[in-house]
Amino acid sequence: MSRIVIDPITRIEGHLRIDVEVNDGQVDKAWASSTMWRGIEKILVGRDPREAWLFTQRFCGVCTTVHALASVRAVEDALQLEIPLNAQYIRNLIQIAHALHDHVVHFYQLSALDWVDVTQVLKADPAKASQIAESLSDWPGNSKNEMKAVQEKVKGLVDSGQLGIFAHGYWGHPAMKLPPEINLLAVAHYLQALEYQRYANQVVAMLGGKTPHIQNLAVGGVANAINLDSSAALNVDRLYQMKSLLDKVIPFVQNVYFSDVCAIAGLYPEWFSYGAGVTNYLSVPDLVLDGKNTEFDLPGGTIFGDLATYKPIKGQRDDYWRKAVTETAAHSYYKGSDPLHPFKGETEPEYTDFQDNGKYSWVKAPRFEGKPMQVGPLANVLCGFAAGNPLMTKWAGLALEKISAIAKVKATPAMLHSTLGRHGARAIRAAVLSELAIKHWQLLTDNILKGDTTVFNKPEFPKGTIEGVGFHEAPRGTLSHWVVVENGKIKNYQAVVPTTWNASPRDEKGVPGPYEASLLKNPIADSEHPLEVLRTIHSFDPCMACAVHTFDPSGRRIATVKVL
Amino acid sequence: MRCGVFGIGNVLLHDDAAGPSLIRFLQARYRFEPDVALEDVGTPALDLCGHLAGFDIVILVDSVAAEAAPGTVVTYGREAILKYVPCVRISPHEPSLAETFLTLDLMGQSPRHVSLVGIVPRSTDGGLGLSDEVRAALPEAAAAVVAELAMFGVEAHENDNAVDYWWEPLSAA
Repeated sequence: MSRIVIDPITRIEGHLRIDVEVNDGQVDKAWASSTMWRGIEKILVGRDPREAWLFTQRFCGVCTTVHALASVRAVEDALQLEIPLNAQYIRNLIQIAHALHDHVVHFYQLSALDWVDVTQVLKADPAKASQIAESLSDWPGNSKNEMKAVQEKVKGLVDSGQLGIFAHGYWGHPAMKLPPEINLLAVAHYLQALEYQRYANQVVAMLGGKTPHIQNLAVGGVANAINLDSSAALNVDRLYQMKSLLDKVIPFVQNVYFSDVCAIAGLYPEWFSYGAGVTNYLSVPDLVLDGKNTEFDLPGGTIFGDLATYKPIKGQRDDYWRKAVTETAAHSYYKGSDPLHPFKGETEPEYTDFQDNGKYSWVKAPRFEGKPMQVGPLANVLCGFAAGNPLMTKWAGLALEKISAIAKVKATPAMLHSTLGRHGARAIRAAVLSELAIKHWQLLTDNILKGDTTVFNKPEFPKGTIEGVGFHEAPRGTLSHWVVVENGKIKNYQAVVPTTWNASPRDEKGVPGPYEASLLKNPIADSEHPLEVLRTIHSFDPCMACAVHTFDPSGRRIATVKVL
Repeated sequence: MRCGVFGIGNVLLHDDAAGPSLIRFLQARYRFEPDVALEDVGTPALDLCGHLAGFDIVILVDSVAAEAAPGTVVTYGREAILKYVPCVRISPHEPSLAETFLTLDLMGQSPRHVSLVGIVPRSTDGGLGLSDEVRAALPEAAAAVVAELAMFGVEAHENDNAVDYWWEPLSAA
């Protein structure tokens, strides 16, 4: 038996730590541990609820817009405030563009190198790589010359003795299995992704005023001025500039990202049998189509194991959702262990050291009707599929077809309960969102051309206490902000973030969270280089909302892998 | 020549707000030419590349974990920033500044000049407001940024607007 600890070291305590015990070459115990925000929500107590979103979008430097959106929705829900259609469409376009950016970055820049061996690129035949690429999709960036240029670039890095940005991979690891040409193709697309993700971000900036911190939100709508006759406002020119950016991003998502995920998944079919973990899923409906938040383009709900158990969540005010969420601190560094509803959430620290059977994480354990839930694109896609959503069904079908053709086995929806299933689902979701980007751009454009320029309904705060929840199906899954307002000031604020659901520690009954459960039975070929652990954890797209990026001139490594 | 001064840090974590605070300070106390961008970019990790691409001169302002008293101002060049070794990471927050510049190299978008003006923090725990030491160091750090820009002939004129740190605690606001 050996124990592996993957622990990002920062000067400040934080981030995600994974401990696994390995027996006979596979994981048989796992712990996910982290520092989370918790206490930070106290900053909001006593403040004006209309400005809460400015603070919450600083919870996380990567997922800024999602916390801004969930916050205004929570306050609007407490007020039961109707939102103008233009504002809903603008918010929808921001969230779609942000998600497309985020999913592409996650695959290429954060996790592709778990599967792709950059050093193998030199062995590839660029002409063959180009042929394979053309058989996979219709994308102009796959020419032989392009492949050759990328190979030269990598050769330059290898010859200089510095792999630079690629130096963090486990090259030559026995679990790396792609043919050299697929490695070359993936690295070429890694480089192209750097360019295309920026176009998506430019859409966010055009509507939000700036990135990463958008400036156009308001409780009651948005602050974008719409005026077809003003060059300073949202006008036809701007709408078409935005459209031309989307027209660049969409083919990249569908013909490169989606296609690469299917190809790589088809070449690692064994990873459809690892990493299922918790097969209870939670997602919430999003992309609002009406002013009252009752109609959505993407459905959400719960699934407990079998897709036939799908039960929809109808909206933020649906009691099935609103009453089901609790958090417990039995294995977390806080006082108390009883499950508490977020409106009543407490955050009194009680730090101990890391105790395998006691407290070991700063993350609380969120539960839905007492059960751990997996959130993220896989939950979103499975719920969409179970609900019969046409776009989800179409793209999930296409993905399974492509994977089947490459893996030469019949891929089924059941295989999605896995490490690779999470990557596949993220690509499916991105493709669906890429289609919806045009739909929501058209909805906004048509509504403006019809003469509607309303963007804001003024909030009025009553005397006494009101409560609200704002949810959002963010790139990493279900996000919810829970606010209690008393006499126009914030009395309590809790954010239950996607990574809290997935990185949850064991609960008061000892039931592990999704990360922990998903690592069980993962093979480990080399304890010093636990690539398989990273594959499964990365597939969730972890984001510990606590980035402290103090620059450290001593050049310390930021993560260590220890084998005890 | 496009020049950018980028504040890095989280305003909700006491002295980690040094970078964003310095941006607000520079905006209020100096006037720059329109081709000088001053941006509070928070903690964008991997996304920092996108913000820096296209700039010729990049000056980062940040809190630094140097072995020195809180409030000490230190300036680093590209070599020091690249000393960080990229390695195994778990979340998108972990990529270091070094990875940002290595990625920009790969994209062919590296700035001609990069430096980092840092302030040593007292505390980066959760909470609002700078420590007295870091707050007192802002004028010196701002002068260091202005001196960096002056090396490239970029002028800054002193100004005396009040600085608005909108995230400061309610009692101090």
